[in-house]
Amino acid sequence: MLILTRRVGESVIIGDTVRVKVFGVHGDVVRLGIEAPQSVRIHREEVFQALKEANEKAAATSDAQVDELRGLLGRRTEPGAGR
Amino acid sequence: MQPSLSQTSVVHFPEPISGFPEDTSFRLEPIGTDGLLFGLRSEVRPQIRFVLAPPEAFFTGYAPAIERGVLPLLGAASVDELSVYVILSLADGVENATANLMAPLVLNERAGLGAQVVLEGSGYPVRVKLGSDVGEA
Repeated sequence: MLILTRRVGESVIIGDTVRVKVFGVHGDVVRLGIEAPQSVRIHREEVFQALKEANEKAAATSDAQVDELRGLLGRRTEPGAGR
Repeated sequence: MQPSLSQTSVVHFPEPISGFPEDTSFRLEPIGTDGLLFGLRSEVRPQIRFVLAPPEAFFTGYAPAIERGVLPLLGAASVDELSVYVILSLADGVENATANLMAPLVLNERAGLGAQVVLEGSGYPVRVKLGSDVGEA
C-alpha cells in the first residue's frame, strides 16, 4: 500500500483521470473530494461491502424458494388484480 | 417503461453487479405471468440467478432518483427509457423475503443494457422486508 502525506487543499492523482483532494480535517474526520469519470463507481467501502454481500446472498435463491414465494404472493394478490 | 411480461431478453452489464465481476451478461425472464417476479440468470454461470421484482408492485412509496449520469452507460437519452427492478433476497427464508432498495437494477430493456445503481445517501436500506411500507426518501 502506498501511503502519502497531504495537506488540506492538496490532491493525489490516480491514473490519468481520478483526482482525490483533501478538503478538510476535523479531529479524526477527513473530508475528501473525488473527481472521476462517470464510469468509475465510487462508494464508501462499508456500503460497497454491504452491497456485495447482499448481492451474493440474493444470487443463491433456489427454485424451491421461488415457488414458495410465488405461493405466498398468490395468496396475497386477488385474481385479476393485475397492474 | 413497464417490464415486459412475456419476452426473454439478454441484458449486458457494462459495469458488473458488485460481487459478480465475471457475470456481465444475464438473461431476464418473467417468472409466472402476473408480472410480480422476474429471474435474471447469468449466461456465464447459470447457477447464478437473481430474483427481481418491479418495486411498484411491492413498495408504493419507493421513488428511486436515478441520476442522469447513468444514461450514457445504458445507452439511453432519458430516464423514461429505463425500467427499475429491485433484487429480492430469500436468504433468511421465504417468509422473511427482503428487497434491496438501496441498489436497484436499472435496465434499458430495448438496448439490452443494465446497471446496478447505488442510491447512496438516499436512506433506502439494502434489506427491506417485503410487505413493509416505505415512504419517499
